[in-house]
Amino acid sequence: MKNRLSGLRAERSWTQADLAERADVSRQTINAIETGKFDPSLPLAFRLARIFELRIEDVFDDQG
Amino acid sequence: MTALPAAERRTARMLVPLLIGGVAWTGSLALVSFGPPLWGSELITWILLGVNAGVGVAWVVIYARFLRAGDELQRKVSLEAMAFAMGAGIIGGCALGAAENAGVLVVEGELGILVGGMGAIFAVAVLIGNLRYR
Repeated sequence: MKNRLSGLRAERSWTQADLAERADVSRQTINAIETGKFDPSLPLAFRLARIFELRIEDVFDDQG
Repeated sequence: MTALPAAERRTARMLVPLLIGGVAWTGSLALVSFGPPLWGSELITWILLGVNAGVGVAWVVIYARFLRAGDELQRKVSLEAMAFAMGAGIIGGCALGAAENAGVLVVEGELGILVGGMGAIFAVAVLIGNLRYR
């Protein structure tokens, strides 16, 4: 699943650790989501979208 | 912003009790396995067996808390590692048993080998899982 996390993060000058702290996950999880190695659960996806004050579909793109 | 995210600090804090539990269980198991000739008392051996079982249960509880403290990716890595270890244990154990029944293999201490093997496979699978999602 594609996502805009790294770009959104860069707009705010956040590191992966900064975003991980806000989302209450590990930096490894943020990295795995950004690189497409791991798809977040729905609650985590919603949490990430809320952090950026965007809709979930503006952050994640389900190619299926 | 802190260097280590809260989720990682939580799991890091759980590592020490997890390690202590593992050492305590392994130590009590070694004591009850090799100690009886030293004290020659069946009662003491039974007491230590109870202690070993109790420490083992406590270690499982600590590990369950460790899993709950982790985030969803950490739980996924642990779950996959447990699946590999369990699968290897079942298949390996059955193969060892079948080989012994067939008379082609005589293995001393099969249970120790099985448990040790499962532990090693679990550790390697966790390492591989973490490298995979790096």
